[in-house]
Amino acid sequence: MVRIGTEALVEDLLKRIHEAGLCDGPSEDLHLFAEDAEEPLERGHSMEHCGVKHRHHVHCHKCHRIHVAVLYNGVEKDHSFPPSTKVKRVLKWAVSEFQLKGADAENKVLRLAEPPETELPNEAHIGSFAHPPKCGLKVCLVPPIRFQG
Amino acid sequence: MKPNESLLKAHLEGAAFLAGVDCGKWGIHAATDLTFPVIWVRGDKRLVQAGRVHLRFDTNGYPQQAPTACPWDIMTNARLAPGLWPKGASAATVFNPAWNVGALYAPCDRVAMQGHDDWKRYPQWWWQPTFTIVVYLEFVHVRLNPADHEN
Repeated sequence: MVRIGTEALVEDLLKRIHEAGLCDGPSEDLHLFAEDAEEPLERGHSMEHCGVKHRHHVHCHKCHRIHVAVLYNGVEKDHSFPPSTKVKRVLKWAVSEFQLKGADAENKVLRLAEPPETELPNEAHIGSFAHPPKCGLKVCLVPPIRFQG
Repeated sequence: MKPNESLLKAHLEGAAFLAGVDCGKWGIHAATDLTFPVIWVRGDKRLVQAGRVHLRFDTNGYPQQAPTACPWDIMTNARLAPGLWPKGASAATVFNPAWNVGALYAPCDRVAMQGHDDWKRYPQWWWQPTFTIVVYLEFVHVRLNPADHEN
């Protein structure tokens, strides 16, 4: 965890994140996004100027966009999102893109298409599941895992 | 302080737990007894009328052993009446008082894990000693908060 004053520059926070080993790569290669923001925060601006307040969360990533390919019933649709996009927004996009309605749209989650087939929590940032240098991921639109037996 | 309690204390002060608190996903109700803390998890009101469910954990052996938890009535300081347990497609299999009133049917609950080795194929949720209580809370939060595409 990194704590920093709101008067600090975005650049300063990126350096601190790098020093803490929270994000791989030199700080010049990193982008810092406010939650659900389209563009990274300006490095020369203060956190306060960017609207980042006490206990706000930001997302640090090397990728400017995450290319998400969603599989549903053998059909693939794709779109690019900023890394700080919440999974629930990607899920909503997918449900709309596949034109699912009513019961078909309900109780769906996104899961990584490849092992370990991680379920993506709706409140998580999509960038958390894309590991540079790869700036993309493939997911399936499926019901949640049902633990039975 | 017992080892399970000191480790749990550290995890409750860690970034992953605090991030969830900041987002309103969960929070501590009572943690004076760290072997039996009560932690609430936010739930969609379609599934949980009160908007959150309190869980009383048993963290004996944590984190070498998974915790176990049951819905808790904080007014009476007793197990929540089965009629008040969360309901709905994504919650009903996990919150199943007909199976056990003292635990959740979850791959990260030490009571439910017994006899369910087939759940190991979901390593995200199958408890491992490297996990923290946040995994348990996240599992419950996912089940209690299905996406609402209407809003």
